[in-house]
Amino acid sequence: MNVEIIPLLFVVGIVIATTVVGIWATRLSRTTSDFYVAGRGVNAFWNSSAISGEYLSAASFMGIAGMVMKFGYDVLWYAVGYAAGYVFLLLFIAGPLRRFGAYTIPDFAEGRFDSKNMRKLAVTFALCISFFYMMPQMKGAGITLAQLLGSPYWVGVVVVGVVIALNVILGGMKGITLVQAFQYWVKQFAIMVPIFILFAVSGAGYGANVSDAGKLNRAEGGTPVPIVKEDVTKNWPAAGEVKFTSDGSIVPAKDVTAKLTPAPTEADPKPKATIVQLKGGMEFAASKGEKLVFVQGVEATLKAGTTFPNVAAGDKWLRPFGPFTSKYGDDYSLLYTYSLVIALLCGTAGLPHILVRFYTNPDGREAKKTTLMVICFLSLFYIFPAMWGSMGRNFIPSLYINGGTDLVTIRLPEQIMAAVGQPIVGQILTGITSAGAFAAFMTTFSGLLVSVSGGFAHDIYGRMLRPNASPEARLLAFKIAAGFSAGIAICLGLLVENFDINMLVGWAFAIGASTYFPLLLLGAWYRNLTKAGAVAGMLGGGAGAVGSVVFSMLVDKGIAAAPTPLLGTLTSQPAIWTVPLALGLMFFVSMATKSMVPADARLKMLKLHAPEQLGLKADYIQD
Amino acid sequence: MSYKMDLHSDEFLRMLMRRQFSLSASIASVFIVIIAAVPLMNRFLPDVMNAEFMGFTFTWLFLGFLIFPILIGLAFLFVRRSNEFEDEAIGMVDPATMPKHDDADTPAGAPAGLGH
Repeated sequence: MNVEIIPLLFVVGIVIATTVVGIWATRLSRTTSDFYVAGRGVNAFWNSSAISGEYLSAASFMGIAGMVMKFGYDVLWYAVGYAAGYVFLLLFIAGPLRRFGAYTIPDFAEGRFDSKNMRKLAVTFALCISFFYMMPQMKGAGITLAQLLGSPYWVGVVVVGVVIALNVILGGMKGITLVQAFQYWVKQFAIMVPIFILFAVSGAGYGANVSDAGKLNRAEGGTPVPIVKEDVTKNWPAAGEVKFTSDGSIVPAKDVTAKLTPAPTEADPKPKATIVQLKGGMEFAASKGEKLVFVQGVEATLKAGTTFPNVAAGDKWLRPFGPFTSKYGDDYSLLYTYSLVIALLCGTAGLPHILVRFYTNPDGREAKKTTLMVICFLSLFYIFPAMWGSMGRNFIPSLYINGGTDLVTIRLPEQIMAAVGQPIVGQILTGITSAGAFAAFMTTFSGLLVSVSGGFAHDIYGRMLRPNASPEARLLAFKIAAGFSAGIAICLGLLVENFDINMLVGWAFAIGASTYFPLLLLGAWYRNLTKAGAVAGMLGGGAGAVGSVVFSMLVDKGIAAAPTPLLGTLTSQPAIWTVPLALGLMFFVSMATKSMVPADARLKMLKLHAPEQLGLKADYIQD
Repeated sequence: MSYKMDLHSDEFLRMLMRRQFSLSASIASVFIVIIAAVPLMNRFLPDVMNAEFMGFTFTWLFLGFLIFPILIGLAFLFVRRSNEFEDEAIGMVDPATMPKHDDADTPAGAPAGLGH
């Protein structure tokens, strides 16, 4: 594989620009609190750019487009849910959280109940969610650099991990605020401008592309799936699939075990898979509709004349309840959809690295204004990924072969511009989208790293281990924690090469939705919430969500047995039961422990809700 | 309004929270009804939702474009109402009951150290 010089220059450019802006900003940050929270003089425009910049991760920039290409309509829910989560945040949480003066959620948890143990519980979940969310960022970085450099996956993971860790250690959050804000605009430009150029060049706009994509591979009257013109050799990860869209053949490079599922028929809509042994170098002929799943990772060659595999039928792709939400059968697709939507809507309010940002608003009113602007910025962004996905389906079916659809935003410009004899323009556009993708992993990863290191330094070291530590000692602890956490993130990133970016993010959202969201919602609005209630809810909801996620991962890896469709739906999208469970536990356990309602609950509620002009503001971080 | 409430009275807190919450809850219910209706309509009125416009299906057009201005509109409405209400609430408090510490109006960008 060749190194792609032009896109690589763009990527190097964005990495250098990030580092320079970060270091330059350091000069502006003098005190410890500048380092953590960027003073509080950041205005709403920059603060909302920074929140949007931090929020738009690899899942948004690459993952949604890739999944729209692969699964179609159902994935639009991700775009809507990622944006709409901020509406819940605005309505119930943004203003009160800022007014309470808590810097992190653990601060809120401790301050609301005057309990050190609440802080410990909250820190545990913050670390858990953050590390979960770091993994997909690392995966995005690894596969993108692998494309551009022809490097192995781990190089991208290590490069991004090290660059961001240095930036955080040298610049801190003040640096990050500027960097995040700048990178929001990089991402917006990179997702928006190239796609308009591609629409103009190809002569087909969004609507035409959706329409064409909806006809591809339809049983009757549709457009046939294109044929592979020359043999293509690709790597399949363990559990990688080839679903044949016509009779065709594939040649694995070495002996490999696979599960072969025959084409479904009317008599047998869900045929059983059988184990087959494929010989290295020998052609394996399959017929239309058969599905091959490699048990081990393998390199294999798809023979010329075979149609592109893994291309979903057009009507399934275009319409609701397609292959994504009907994973466990059509009867459960509605349940699956609702559960996904609940996780996305409630989970945004449970992301520790986003909530920290609200502290950079000077007051509750400004926090609301910032959230409103964030909703505007995100709405503008989330219109675009589906355009890439539908165009990718028509123009670059080669990504379907071995599950490479996450790369559609990177590969599509080159493909289209080369076809019209403008390869250099294509390389430049790919450079722009690669820079956007890099901006996505860097901002989200740095935000998470600040949040995790802040958790270690501010919550664990500064408040639990050494409450009397000097500001210098805390700053040093923060820097050490940043280096250490980046190391863990790199190691975790190396483990998840084969997981779907959006799936990992969805799980982080489900855990946040089942722990932090109920705590913040009831903590801000339910005066009689007791510590016992809050603990019961967070542990119950958290255990349900984490247990489900771990179980789904084990099933994915073939370690746990596949559950019934109902159980499968409820474990792979647990929010529909874990969120009500957590809320219910908090409510009923609080009722049962009424005598434990803190004596000063009224004052706490007043602080949460009274406008600052009434003079109650007391920041958690004080001189 | 001539009658002023004590800042630290239960009466004021209840009024404050009730009014803010009913605003949040009413906007949230509009929002939830819209979001929740889409999958149901997709399931039970497929002919309407899958009708084609300009290459899109209606439901694609809705989730891909139309829902975003709705989100922005609801958010805008909330922020305006909520701020109006806060201004009213400030006027309802008896100034004599407000805390009188000097640092209450420290400028927003003032340096702050970590910890106490």
